[in-house]
Amino acid sequence: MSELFAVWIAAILTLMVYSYLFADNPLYRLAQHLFVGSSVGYSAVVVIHNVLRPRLVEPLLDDATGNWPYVLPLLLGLLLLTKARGTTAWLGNSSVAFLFGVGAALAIGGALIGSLLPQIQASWVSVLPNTAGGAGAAVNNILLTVGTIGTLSYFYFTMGARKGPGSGLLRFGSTVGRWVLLITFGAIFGNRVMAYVSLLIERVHFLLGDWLGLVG
Amino acid sequence: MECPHCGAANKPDSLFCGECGEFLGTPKGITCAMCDTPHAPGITACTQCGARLIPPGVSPAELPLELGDEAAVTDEVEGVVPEDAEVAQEPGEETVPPWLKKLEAVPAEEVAERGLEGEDLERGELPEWLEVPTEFEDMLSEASIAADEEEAAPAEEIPSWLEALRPEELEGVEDISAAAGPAEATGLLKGIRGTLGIEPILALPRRAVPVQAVSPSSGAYERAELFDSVVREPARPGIELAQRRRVEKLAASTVRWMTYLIIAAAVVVPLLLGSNWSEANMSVSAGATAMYDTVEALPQGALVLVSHDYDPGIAGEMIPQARAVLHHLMGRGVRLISVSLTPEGARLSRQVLDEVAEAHGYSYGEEYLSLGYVVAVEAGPRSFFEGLVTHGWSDFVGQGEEIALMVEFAGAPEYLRLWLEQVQGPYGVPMAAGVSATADPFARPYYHNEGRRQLIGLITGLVGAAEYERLSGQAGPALTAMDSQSVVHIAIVLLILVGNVAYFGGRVRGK
Amino acid sequence: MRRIGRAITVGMRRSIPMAIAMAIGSLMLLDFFFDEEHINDLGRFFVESAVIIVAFALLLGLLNVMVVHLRRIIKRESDWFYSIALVAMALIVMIAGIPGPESTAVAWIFDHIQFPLQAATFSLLAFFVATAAYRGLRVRSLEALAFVVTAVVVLLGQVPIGRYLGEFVPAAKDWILDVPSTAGMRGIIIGVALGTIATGIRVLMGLDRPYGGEGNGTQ
Repeated sequence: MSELFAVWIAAILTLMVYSYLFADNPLYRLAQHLFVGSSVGYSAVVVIHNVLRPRLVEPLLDDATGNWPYVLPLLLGLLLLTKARGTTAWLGNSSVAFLFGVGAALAIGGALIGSLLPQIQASWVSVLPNTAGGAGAAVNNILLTVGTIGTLSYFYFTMGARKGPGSGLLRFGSTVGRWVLLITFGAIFGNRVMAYVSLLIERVHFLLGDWLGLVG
Repeated sequence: MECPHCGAANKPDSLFCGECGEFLGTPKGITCAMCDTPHAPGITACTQCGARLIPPGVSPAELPLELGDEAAVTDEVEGVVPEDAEVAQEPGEETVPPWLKKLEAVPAEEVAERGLEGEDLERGELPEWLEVPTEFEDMLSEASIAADEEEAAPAEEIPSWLEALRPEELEGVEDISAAAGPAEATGLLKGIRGTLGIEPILALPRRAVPVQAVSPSSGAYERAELFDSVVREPARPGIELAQRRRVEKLAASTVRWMTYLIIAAAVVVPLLLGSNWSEANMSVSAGATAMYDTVEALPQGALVLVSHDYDPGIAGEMIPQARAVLHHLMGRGVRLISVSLTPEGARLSRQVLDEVAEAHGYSYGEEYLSLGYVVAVEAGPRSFFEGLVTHGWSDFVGQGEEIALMVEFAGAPEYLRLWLEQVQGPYGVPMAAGVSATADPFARPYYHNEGRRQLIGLITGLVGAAEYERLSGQAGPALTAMDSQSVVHIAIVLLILVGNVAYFGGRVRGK
Repeated sequence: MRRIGRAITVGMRRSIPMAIAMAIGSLMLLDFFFDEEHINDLGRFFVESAVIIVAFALLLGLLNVMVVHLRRIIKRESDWFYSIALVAMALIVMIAGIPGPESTAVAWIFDHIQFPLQAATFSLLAFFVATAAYRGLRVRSLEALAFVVTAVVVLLGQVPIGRYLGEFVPAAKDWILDVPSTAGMRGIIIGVALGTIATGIRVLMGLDRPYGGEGNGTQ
């Protein structure tokens, strides 16, 4: 019985959201506010129970003398909360600065080791048919490299580097890059459509199956 | 011709009076906003450039939104100019070395918020840099705006609840303005969530694309100003125009309804028929095969780390993936430790884990473990992984134990990037990924990396889940959905074709 | 005298965050690239601390949403009655979640209220994108043609029915995704990585102070 009730609630809420297809209406607004409310509450619960409790509160309560360094994040975290009031907000700047210090260093290291170097290395591919595994693969490898360089020169070009030595080559490269990016964005669009369709199927499957029992 | 202001005689076709400099134009006619050609009253399209002529006293909001491409460009010119000016005004540090100056981060472009909610939701779902850039978006949104303009919420509606609608991990999006702007005169969370990384990501390509549209001819700025003045004109629609507008509105809403019905039918009918055409015809991509083989090669008892980085919004794609892969993993008898970069992922993954575990006789705490949520900034995955390898995890993970494979389920590119940059790269953990289709193009360069093999396997969206179900011989929800997916794709392609036929048909008739 | 005092406090407010960012950041960089036990231990602690502070930041953000809506209720701003639903819902979940997120009440609300609402909201996009496909994807230029053709090939090639139209359809899809799209994306990834590193260096050198280093106390 309660399971049936739950399915009905979920179905009604789903239909309330779909009512937006007719027009923006109070039911839809209500649904959205309920969703945001639930999301806010749930996130708060998870953040407190999955991060703050095991990582901060428990170490300090269990063994305060042994875990005294944890006073630092506690202090910085509490200072951050002063940002809720405009007049005391500057107190929280140190906490934000701490986050940016850690974040900047990790971002630099990560971007270098995880993206920049491996991706440059990935562009360094064989263009000879006998080593690349066939003429087709060699052509594709050439296209990959040319396309990547073209995209980069397109960014460089649009950042304002229109003059100077080699600007003709740069201009050509950026034209290549522009077309490569057009195709990339076309692919992104196609993939996004695919994702949205899958999401719709999930909901329709719920409505037809779990709610109406028409689909097994 | 005679100047209406000072009476001086001017050559015919003169635009400005040679005596007093006043604009001659055609006093009662219409001047084209795009190319300044004057026209007699009653003409609806410019004879020189084909742009739609907007009668004086009519707000363009009253016109169907089908401005020529050039209009979009001039519009953009306006948007970009102040931004560039801002860059120039940025307080220059006296001591900045020139090479750093060159690398100076540029403030993210403020894209005018559109009143269309669908549009905004779309935006909230992906990091902005993966969004279709404005120049294409103009193309896309123009139509949806026209279709939905009558039901668009007032602009002030957007901040409160739509802003809140945005998943936390995207709050970095707002940080950009704070990070790039001169002072922190912004709200509460500014400058916190993005802890870097995200900021340049958003700033770079965003800026790159619109600028390219700016190769303004000398007259473009004047035209843009004129266009702007036309845009600002208050609405005073004539009766005739109001009638035409009503007809056009009706036509637009009919088209919209037809579209909705086609899509709904394309999803519902195959599901109701229970057709299973796709199941037999499912082809399998190389990425899915690679992922399957990797899992198949895992020794029994190996330690596998699985990250479930998705929320209910994208769960329609991700849960079938997770289910298919987890079935296979548990079938191999490996030990699973799971984590999530979204608060919701913790709950969603636990449900799937428990369900699959029951089928394979796994017990919680001995063969699988869920560690819940870790914050989705650089420090999150890193601290999690460092803790795991240096201290182990109670009895489950021994100190210094090697992780045989990491499987990442990424609902958005950002999560994949975090794991790749903070864990896969520095620690060299073998990694395979199941990604939402929205993240597929982002994941591919990491998959196609012969030298480094950053991603060993890759499955994409619901289709990827279906491929995996096919490979492991366990038909599930994804394979069942493939017929609907196919039919909707066909329907959308047909809609694109019909839309173009209608468009060109209209153009031909117009001439 | 008071003016000097104020100048000093303003200077402190400005320089302390900057010093923190620069010092912590440099240490973390050392930790990232070098294997030295003490630095690694310290680095691990700082990363752990950052996670905790981010958690506080998240709570602050959630608090902000609540405050905005409470203010709306108090001031009877437009749509304030929806805000009541929002605040009430959030409070219910928070109270139900006192024992933890696994509590049955929270789980029930998550599964039967939050999940359908969020899933339905995102699935609406399928309808909007279909309208956009009809009205927006017009081939007005060569560029638009490239965009539309790519999108169509990807759409057809991704699903099983693409094979039915001919084996070349999925092959073309694979080629588009694996060659030009990968090349473009790789360019974007490299560009973004360069931008990240440049911005990161600027932050660590104190040239960019996104944490509000210039603050004069009143924001």
